[in-house]
This record gives sequence, structure tokens and C-alpha cells, in this order.
Amino acid sequence: MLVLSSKIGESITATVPEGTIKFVFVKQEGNVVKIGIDAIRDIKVYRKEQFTKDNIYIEKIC
Amino acid sequence: MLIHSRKRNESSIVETSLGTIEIKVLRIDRGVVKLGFDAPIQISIHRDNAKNKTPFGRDVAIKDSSIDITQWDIYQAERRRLLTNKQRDEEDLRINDPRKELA
Repeated sequence: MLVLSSKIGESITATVPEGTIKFVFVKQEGNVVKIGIDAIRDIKVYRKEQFTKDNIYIEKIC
Repeated sequence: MLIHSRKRNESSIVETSLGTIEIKVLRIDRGVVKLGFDAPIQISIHRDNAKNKTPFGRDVAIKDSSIDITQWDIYQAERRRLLTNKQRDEEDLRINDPRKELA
């Protein structure tokens, strides 16, 4: 796992064949951080709990 | 821009053609957040203040250069850099295979 520290307003970029995905540390509210994810529409973004739930659902259908 | 609110140890997932990128909030400390990125090795991840660096660490003046460097070229160079010498040789052989020209 790559670990990077980021201050408010700083961004980190991932380069993929579809283009670039930008992660921005937008705001901190107590023990919650807001992370902005900027990418083209083709790229899907999930919360992990939702992603796991959807995958279990798909496996059940199959 | 999509904004996710995340607590410590919570993650977001980004699905790409190369696989998924998991971004985990590891630590929150007075305006500084420590993020963990779990992604396939072919995906290059870097801070934005280093965006004009090539995978080899040299500066590239993209706007001033007559060479048209696209994100795809940078991606290919990074992917190739991560290959072992043997894999690189095999790839060169595949590209320069004379049998390919005969076919």
C-alpha cells in the first residue's frame, strides 16, 4: 500500500488508461474528512461498504 | 467532483479498466490526512506538485515541447519501467518479431 500525507487543498493524481483521477483533500470536520474525486464519467466510484454489498448481491444472482 | 465523507479506516473504491483503486483514510491529524492507496502496479499514483515529472524524474515542459506527450505515453513509460528486464526483453521480441512481418 502506498501511503501519502495530504494537507487541505492538496491533491494526488492516479494515471490510468482512461485518463487521470484526481483525489483532493477538501475539508476536515472533526474526525471526518471530505475527499473529492475528480474523474471522467466512465470511471465508477463507490464507498467500500457499498461496493462490497453490490458485489455480494451480484454473486447471489449468479 | 464527487465528494465522499470518510472516517478513519474507511475506504472508497475507484473502478478502472486495470482494476480497482482503494483509498483508505489511515490517519486524521489537524488538517493533515494520511491516505493509503491500494492499486494494481500498472497504475501510477503521485502528488500533484510532481505532475510535470516523467516516470524517470526528469522535468517535461509539455506546453513548450514540440514533442506531443500524452497521458497514454506517460502511462506506457511507467508500465514499462515496472517490468523486469526479462519481461522487457520478451516484449521487445514480440514487437520486433520477424515472423509478424511475414504473416
